[in-house]
Amino acid sequence: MISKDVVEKVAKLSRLHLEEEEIAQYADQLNQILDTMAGLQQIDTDGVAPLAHVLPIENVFREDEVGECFTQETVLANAPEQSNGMFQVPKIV
Amino acid sequence: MNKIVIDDMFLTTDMPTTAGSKMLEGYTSLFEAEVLTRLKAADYVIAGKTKVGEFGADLLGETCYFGAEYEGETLQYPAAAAVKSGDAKAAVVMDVNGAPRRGAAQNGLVSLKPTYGRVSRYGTIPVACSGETVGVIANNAADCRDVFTAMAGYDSKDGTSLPESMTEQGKAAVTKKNKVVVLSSMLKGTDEAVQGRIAAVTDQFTKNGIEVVVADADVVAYAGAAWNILMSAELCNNVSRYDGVKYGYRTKNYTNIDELYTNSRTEAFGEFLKSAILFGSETLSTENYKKVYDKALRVRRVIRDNMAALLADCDALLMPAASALAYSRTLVEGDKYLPYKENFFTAPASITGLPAVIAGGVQLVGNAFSEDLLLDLAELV
Repeated sequence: MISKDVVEKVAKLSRLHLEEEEIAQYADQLNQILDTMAGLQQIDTDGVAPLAHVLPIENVFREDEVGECFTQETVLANAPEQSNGMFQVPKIV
Repeated sequence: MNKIVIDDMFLTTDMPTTAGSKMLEGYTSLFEAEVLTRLKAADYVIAGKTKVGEFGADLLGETCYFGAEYEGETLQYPAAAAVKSGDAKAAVVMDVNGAPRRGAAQNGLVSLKPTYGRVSRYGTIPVACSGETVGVIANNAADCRDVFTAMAGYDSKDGTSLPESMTEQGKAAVTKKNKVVVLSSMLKGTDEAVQGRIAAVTDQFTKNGIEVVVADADVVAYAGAAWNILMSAELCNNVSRYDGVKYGYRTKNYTNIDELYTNSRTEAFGEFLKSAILFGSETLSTENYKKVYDKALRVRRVIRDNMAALLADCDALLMPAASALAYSRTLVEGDKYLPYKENFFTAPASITGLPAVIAGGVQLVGNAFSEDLLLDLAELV
């Protein structure tokens, strides 16, 4: 059971602001999603290792070589705000 | 001319890429998706982009910030509509949570979701990385095959791309058995139209000398539940990059960095996406990690082994792609959980990385690397 407190905490960690009525609404939604998953506990997974990835590929390495680079101007092309060739954000410290 | 359309999930340098979200409204990428470079080299012309639901994770595009597409009162997947209307020979799509497969099934089109790793995901918007694949929707199996052939193959820019040696080895291991297995546990909740399609395709196979048998595999029916957990967890991590700093939507309403992050995300993400983010974060929390996320990963292995055992003896598992061949506006707008329910049918292939083909309104899930065999079967439908 996911409580309103849990939704509030998770929303904060996810950097989402929820109004009071939204908290209740999402708590209800999350519980409905969770209900559909109750059946999973019935599946016996004792001694079964987790499968994070379906491919038998591990540790894909490449040489650490300098490739083609973007210009500063290109990198800033999608910046919501920029100043002196840098991404601009509010003062942090 | 080989005119194709692409889902708005592929990065393009000459058109914006939004992933159906206000978060990326007006965003134009600095580089192009690998599949597009390959398709252009094979003389395909990209006619335009088709709308997707927010980050491609919904039913058929109904959560798109730029509006859902309805044909009359029936929800329509824009990529499928473009192929059906003849605007494009094929659509290159992103199968995050089964939307392209549902779209193809409901329009009587042919669609291929290849084996995970056979088509590069470089330059696609990442959402549910461990299962999502680039796919194709076309009018027939031959067109699907052509587009897939032009796109497939190893790409060093994608860490999950299969080396050619593995693909060749995998393809060589595929043998034709002239047998298809209908999974009775996957017929749950389907309407008469879908059951009719399953029966029609079964007949068609039988007439062509393919043995069709019915088997029960209850564990496969849990793929949706497990996939909802993994997909949401991966989605919440993948969309954590959207913070209003370097690109994407930035709120006007902030006085400090924390408000900038929070308000940008709160104002730009839609309701369905927020519920997936919250659910995903919750499944990864300390209290739930073992019980929920880790459990889903273990169930994934059980399902994969189970399906591999079934597929050892046949060419494909025949199952529906959706519970119905049309979703009404009333149903879609009234049930916010539909994408979490309907992926009951598409999750078995998503969670295992196995290839799936849609034809005649049904789904065929095959052994890894059996795309050719599945498309051969689709030609009989």
